Amino acid sequence: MTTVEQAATSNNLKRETQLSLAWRQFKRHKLAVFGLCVLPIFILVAVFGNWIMPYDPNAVAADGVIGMPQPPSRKHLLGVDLYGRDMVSRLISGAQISLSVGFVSVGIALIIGLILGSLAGFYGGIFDTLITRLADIFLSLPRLFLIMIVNSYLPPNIYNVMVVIGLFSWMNIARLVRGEILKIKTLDYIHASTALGASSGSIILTHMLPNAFAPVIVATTIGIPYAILLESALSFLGLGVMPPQASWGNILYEARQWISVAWWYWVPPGVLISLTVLCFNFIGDGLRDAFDPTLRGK
Amino acid sequence: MYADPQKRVLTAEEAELIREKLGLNQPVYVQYFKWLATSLQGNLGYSYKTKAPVLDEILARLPNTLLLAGSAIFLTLLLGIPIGAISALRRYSLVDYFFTILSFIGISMPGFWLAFILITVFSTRLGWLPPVGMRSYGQSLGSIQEIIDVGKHLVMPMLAMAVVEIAYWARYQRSSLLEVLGQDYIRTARAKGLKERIVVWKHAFRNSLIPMITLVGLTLPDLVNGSYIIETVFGWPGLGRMGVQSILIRDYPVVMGVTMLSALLVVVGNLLADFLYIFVDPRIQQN
Repeated sequence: MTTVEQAATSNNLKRETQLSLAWRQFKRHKLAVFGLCVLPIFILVAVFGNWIMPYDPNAVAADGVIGMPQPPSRKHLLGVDLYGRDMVSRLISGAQISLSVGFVSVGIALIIGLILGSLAGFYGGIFDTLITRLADIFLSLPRLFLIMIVNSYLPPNIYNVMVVIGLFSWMNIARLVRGEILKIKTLDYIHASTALGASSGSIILTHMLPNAFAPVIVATTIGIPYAILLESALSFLGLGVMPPQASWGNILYEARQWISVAWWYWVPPGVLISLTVLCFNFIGDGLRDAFDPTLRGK
Repeated sequence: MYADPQKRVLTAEEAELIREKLGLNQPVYVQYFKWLATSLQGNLGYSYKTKAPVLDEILARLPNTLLLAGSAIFLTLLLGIPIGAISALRRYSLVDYFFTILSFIGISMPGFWLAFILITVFSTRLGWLPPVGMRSYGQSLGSIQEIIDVGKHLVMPMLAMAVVEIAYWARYQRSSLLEVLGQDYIRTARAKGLKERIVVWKHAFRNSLIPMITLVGLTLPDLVNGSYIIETVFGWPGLGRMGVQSILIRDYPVVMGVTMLSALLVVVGNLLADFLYIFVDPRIQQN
């Protein structure tokens, strides 16, 4: 029985939730479904990476060769790198780094954006002015360069990369949250809960933020690939994840001397970055359509 | 501080002398306002590495960056807008799907990796284009050969920088034109019997370009970001490459100068976009 028939027979079309409506719209976006199918593979490989990796990703000179990347062979499906390390293992290790940087830094940006956006929208006045101006300033500055500068002051490790990318990525989320709250603030049910004695915090959390759910989810989904690209660019410039820890960006940094002779060194990490980012972008686009009521029923 | 090189090389007295000479013994805010005061007088300080005035170093490289970024913008407008318009007019056709997927790929590829692909194809395999730099040795300045030579060096960095932007512009133009095509005044134009060609190009297309001005403001920081990476990959002697190098060797006066100039470029660009908005769309003046 199809969904439509089920809905019709149980005769409660009206009770269909927003989420299931959105899901139906999402399923129509073929590229988004593609993303949703491929991305879990990457995540599973990253999560179970330590068991899947054929070799230790940082073990130098696995076969006694060093100083020259070796082409793919039975033993090393994607060859070995300059230091004789197995490429498959390094790519899996890179997936763990890139994905966790993507999720954690956007998580940080989400928390900052929710807090600042709520403050600006709910309290208005000086809060609003300060926070919107701050967001404007952050948006107009070239982000990559600022992140590079901040990173060059900090000890180079993956946690700093996550935090710094997060600190420079909250602006869109804050703006969206602020906009939603401004829209809702003057509605009757908010006045009603104030009259009933609800605290500002509980009004924001239970009545306001849920309304910002859809745009924030979309912005978050689109923020993750951006963070992954930023991390890879930083690592590529030598200011992100530091060797010997592998990230897709710093593998490309090492490989740039060998692009004309060793394709297995630079093609796979680039394909993996692009494919991961592509999946997130597809899903983000699908979610945007799914939550857009003007597209329903078309 | 992490990365403070003095501890490795100098004795305490020597270090103190240098700190005093460079003004590093003062609190950070005093250093900053000193820098601000002299900057406003047109002196951005001196590079630690070359000892040359930062302003001179910047001005020597600015034209190269503007050439690269400018030609990337030109290519973006030339390709992005028509691709978006065609996708919108042939919505859900094979052409539309092709360009949609292509632009998603363009948005998702790291620019420096695209640069690798370009170098492999056009330099290593085909040997058509030089992989690094801006000029070959031994060219006489101002000659036609020199212009062609710079042009050849320009092609790949320009492409590597423009592809992402073309993709963004095409997607934006597509949705903008689709939105306009759904407006009432388009239905009116059709209803009064105008030719489809006039409806599309005179009424719809021109109006769909207005929201694109917003994209200028988003593209500029992107291009500045891109120039750091692309100039580094292709050894293009511009501001971005200088910025990256100065961060890596901690040449702070240069870092300050490049940051300020990048921000200035972005802010001025946004301001121009705002003016352009008012100029193009009379509805905005009323508010």
